[in-house]
Amino acid sequence: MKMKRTIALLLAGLMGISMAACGAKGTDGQDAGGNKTGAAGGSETQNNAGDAAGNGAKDGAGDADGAGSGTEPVLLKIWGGVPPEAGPQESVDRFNEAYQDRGIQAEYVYYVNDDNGNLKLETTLMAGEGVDAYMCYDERYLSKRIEGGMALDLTDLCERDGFDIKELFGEEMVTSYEYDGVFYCIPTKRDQYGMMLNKDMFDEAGIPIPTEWTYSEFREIAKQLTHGEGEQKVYGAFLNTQQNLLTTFQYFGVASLGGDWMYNEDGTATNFTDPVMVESAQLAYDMMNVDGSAPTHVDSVTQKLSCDGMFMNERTAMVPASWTVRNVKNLESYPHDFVTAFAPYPVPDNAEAPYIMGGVGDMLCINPKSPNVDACWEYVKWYSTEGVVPLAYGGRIPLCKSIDMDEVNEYFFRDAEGLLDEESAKYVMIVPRGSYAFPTISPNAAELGDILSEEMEAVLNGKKTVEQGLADAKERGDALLAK
Amino acid sequence: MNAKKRRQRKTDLTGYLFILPNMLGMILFTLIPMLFSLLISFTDWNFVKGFGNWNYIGFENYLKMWKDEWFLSALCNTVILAFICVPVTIGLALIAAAAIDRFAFGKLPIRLAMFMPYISNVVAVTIVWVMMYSPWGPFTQMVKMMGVKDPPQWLGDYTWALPAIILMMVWSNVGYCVMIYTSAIQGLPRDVYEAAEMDGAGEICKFFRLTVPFLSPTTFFLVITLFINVFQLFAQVQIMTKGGPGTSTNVMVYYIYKSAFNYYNMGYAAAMSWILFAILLVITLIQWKGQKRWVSY
Amino acid sequence: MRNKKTKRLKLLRRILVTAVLAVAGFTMIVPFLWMLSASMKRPIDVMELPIRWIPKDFYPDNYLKVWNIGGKGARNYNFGLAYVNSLKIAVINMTCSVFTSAAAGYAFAKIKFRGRNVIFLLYLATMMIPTQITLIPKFAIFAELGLSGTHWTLILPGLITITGTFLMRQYFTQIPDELRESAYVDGAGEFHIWIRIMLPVAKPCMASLAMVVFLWNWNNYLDALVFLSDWRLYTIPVALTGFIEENTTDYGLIMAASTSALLPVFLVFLAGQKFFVKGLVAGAVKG
Repeated sequence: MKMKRTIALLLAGLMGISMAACGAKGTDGQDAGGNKTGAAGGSETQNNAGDAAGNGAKDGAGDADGAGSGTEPVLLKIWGGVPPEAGPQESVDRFNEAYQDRGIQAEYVYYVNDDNGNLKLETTLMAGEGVDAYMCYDERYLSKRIEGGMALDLTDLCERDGFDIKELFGEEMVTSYEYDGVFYCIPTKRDQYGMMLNKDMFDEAGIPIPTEWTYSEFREIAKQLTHGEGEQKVYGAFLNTQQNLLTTFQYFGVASLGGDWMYNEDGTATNFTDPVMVESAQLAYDMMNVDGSAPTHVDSVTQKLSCDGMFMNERTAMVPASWTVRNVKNLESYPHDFVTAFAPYPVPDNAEAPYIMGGVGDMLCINPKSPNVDACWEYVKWYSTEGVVPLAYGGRIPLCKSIDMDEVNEYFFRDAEGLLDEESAKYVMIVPRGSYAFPTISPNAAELGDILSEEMEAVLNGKKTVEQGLADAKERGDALLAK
Repeated sequence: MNAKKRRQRKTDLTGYLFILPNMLGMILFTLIPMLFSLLISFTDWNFVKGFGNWNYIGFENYLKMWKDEWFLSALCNTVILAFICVPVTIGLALIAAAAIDRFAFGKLPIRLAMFMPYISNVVAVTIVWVMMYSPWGPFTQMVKMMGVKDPPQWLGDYTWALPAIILMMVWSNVGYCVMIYTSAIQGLPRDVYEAAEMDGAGEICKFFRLTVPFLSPTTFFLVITLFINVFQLFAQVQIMTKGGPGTSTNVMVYYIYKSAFNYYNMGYAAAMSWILFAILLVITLIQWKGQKRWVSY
Repeated sequence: MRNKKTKRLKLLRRILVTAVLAVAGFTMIVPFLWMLSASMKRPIDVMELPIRWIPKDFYPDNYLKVWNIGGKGARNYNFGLAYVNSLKIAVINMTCSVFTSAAAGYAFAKIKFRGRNVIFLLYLATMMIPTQITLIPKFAIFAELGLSGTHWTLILPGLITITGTFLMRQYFTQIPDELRESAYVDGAGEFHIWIRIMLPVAKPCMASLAMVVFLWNWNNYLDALVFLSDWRLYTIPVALTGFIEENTTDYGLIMAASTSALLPVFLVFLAGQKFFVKGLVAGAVKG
């Protein structure tokens, strides 16, 4: 008897859920938002935004004829993965100053760009509130979000305002970010990466800063720069495998293989046994286990080594992570006095290398469920064509062609006297160097990456030979793609 | 007859009223989400596509996992982990709780020390353990002091990573078990012990003949909850090893999480969690049936 | 004579066992001691060998950075605010769930209503589903209720605990039926029996449950991570993870953050322990 009642209850509950599934209306957004901002207590870093929020809440709650403009400004929440102090806060501050009269204010919400951080962003996007615009840093995330309807089709807005994305940012740069002829994001940053070098160590060893080099030259230099023993050992290079086991493929080998480096021409199979792949895997293995010029993979994992710590604490002469350049200026966390220089990534000995590792990054998207799409669009236009400049302070180079590069340079080298080698930094990081390795296809990219990482780990730990590991990776990867 | 029926109805009503608040929460935030996940386990749902945007694919998710080597390794590791971790933890806790209760001076500080790991934030203690296991960490140093010249790189070693995680799990759960046992021991009938003492029973005899049987309902509770906890191990793996090296510490919930949020295969992840559920259910049912033999109320 | 010898032997045994247990207990807290020691060291000294348990000199910068005192930190992590949030949620959930568990546990153990075994098995069953998989459905429910992003997402599911219900049921099962029946005969209602007779008897169990529930909530990591997006609402684990993720290499700093998250809980429990243990040790043991 009572069982029936329970079942009825359950059914009622289920109906509720299915209704939720059918009609996901984005209501109550304003309410919840208002509550949250009302609870704001300003913090030092989010100072301006916090104040703006506080004012907004006050205006909303109190009498409309109070001080100020009288109308409640729109408060945009902009999600990004760059720490606020590395530029975004200054950018948002500038925006808030410029748009004060126009009733738009922005708050920068910092999320850590890792699995958990992206999950958080996505669930918040699904809820339909709490995000107005957001940054994507990875094509994989971007395409998933576009497919999932989490990014606004920008066509109409662009046409209305005559905002020509191809014209403004360079057609060859942005084409691969067009999905079926439609832009869902605005790429804002030029990605051009390379090796970060400890110039003092190079000078000491009498080695000039390279402007191009092959795997074997790189390996030789790393050997020369390695010295010391135990805790005092200084390595020639650090390969960052604890974070990304694919470093020598994804950053080095890509110069020959191009953006779709994991696949064969039509994307139906992997190319994990390609000679360039073999050469790249061999390079990492030899440096770690033969030459001892790079910390082994096991050491990197168990000691939680990182590019930031290894390089800034002078335990290695080179790291493949020029995006960590923002640490150079962070003397508080990383007190140091050596000069940091840059070099392009080494390229395979036995293959042509027509591509440059890099492309565009920091793709700015608008949440289609945002109640303030127009205000958001204003922000997006402003940010991509002008507001992005302060981020050069943290090493990010704007993509927009109309931006004054002198100002960018000024930001890039500000507070860095005697810490950055200007010539090599400009050459590697700032001035466009050639055609980038753009990705165009990505079926099962995440799983393929994991398969290759797993086999690569076995290779680096000496469980399998390079040939065996890559052959196994290919077999597994091809099986996955064949499904 | 009628009066009996009426009384039963009254009993029913009282019972339901007592469990109502609890039941409501359980239905809304556990049962419904659970059924929802059952539903999506038959779909190819990718969660960024939004609710309702899926295709039904029958049992495909349930079939393909048996050919998925990541799933199989996760299953295997989880089972090994649970069948080592649970008995060890409970055994140690039972002995410790009984010994503290019967013999120790300064019961409080000892219990507190043992309980500390359990009350600590899992993120914080996991980070501490990563350091413990690092080559310059206290654990490695201790092993060296015990005469091992070249201790393994615990978390980076294919063979030792899983035992390292097991050790940490035991460490963090033992205090909880001691605590639960302790509160159960307070309820033990003292007169029976005194009678046994009169008969000249030794401490070890009393432990096995009296304490262990008397505590069996608590043990039963602990076995079930620990199994469930250990099977759902997640944060430690995510922070310590990310399932590596290779697949040596890949456990079920970690792989489920990865499938759902890294590969976006929500349907597949749901299907795997139902398999996990089925395994736990079978284990629990076996124990439920078996308890009649060894649990004495 | 003989009696005296036995007594001395017994005393010796107690001392021995105590020593063994003390060593075991001490081993349990070694990781914490190391954490505390590392949190007061400069980054470079953390890896020094042999391990120096007492730092050469106290280096307070780690703590100053974590708590953003004196502008030392790169960013304010709002640990204070996170504390308040965590405390609020944990206290509400602790109070409510202990009572909901005690009520349901009592009913499952003592009231012979129809279908109780089926429902109880259902409870057991729900314990076995990994919480990770109910994350998204829960999220959908909150979105529908208009609660996403608020503290309700952590409070509402936390008002009950299934493990707690299970624990309370096991406890009440052990209590002899006579206690309840005699009151029943006296004409007391079920609710009255529960409040006046059963709850006082179950105090020790409720105390341990309260403690455990508080901790679960205090340490709830994944839910808070996914459900909360506004930094003003962050709880301790989320603030801590954010901190750890951004300072991966600065071990001293991370340990300082961990200590900051752990120490107050230890202190509260050290202070509260006396009270709890009084409940636990009621009817004290004479060895």
